[in-house]
Amino acid sequence: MNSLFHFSFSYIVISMVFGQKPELIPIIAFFSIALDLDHLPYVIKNFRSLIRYLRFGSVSRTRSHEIFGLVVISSTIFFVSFFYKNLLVLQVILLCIMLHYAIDFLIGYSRPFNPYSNQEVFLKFYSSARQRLLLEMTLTIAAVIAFWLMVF
Amino acid sequence: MAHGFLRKFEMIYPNKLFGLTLITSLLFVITIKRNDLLAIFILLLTILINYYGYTLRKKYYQNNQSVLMCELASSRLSESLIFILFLKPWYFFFIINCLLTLYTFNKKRIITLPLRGIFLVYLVIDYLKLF
Repeated sequence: MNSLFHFSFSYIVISMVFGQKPELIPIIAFFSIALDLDHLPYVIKNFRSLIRYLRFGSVSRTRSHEIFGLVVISSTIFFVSFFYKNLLVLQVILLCIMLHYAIDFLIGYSRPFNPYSNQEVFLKFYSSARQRLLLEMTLTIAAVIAFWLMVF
Repeated sequence: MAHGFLRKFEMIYPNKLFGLTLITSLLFVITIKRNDLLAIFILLLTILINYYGYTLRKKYYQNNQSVLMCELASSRLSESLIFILFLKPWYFFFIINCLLTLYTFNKKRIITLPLRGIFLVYLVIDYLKLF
């Protein structure tokens, strides 16, 4: 899923859970898309084919984007929670990251047990690339409008 | 008529049900601070949907590794969402559960803790103020 959707959807959910927190927008913006930084090496390496087919696929995701990364990130934040007393910020960060995992798992192809298994998992909520594009566009536009209405 | 309806219900691809549990887990996170009873109901719904997906997987996709992986991954992701507001000690149990899943994934028997079920019992006890 695209970064715009990740950010706006994370903000909407966080507002519904913790109330409106405009001061946390920079934190939400960073942590809701930070997981996608692992795409960078793949993007640099396969720039031409990406421009041509506009599809990332599960091979662009490293193990940090799967359960392995989920364990590492969760453990780190849980460990930090013993020293850092602002629990709200930690919960917001955690929610941004977990929503990113959940959205990517729901919408796209993933390899959840990478590096132990390279088998792909797909939930079949859509059946063609065209449907996927339509779904992504609709969800992104709806989330951005909802975000806009909430903040401004 | 009813038989046909049930048959149609049985043809649902289990991965879709496992995906649905993520959506209900998100609903649980949104409702838990506002309405305890509704949140408990949503958590129960999440467990039931997951159980139905499990029975369909056992019945029709016994040897399908991809569906098994989807079940395990969606369960862990669902727990990661549910326990965000209950960091200590539940997040610790969730991390243990993830490690157990990864460790036993390639073994004969996959071992996981039924954390959401235990958490449901905890919430019900807390709601009814039994202790």
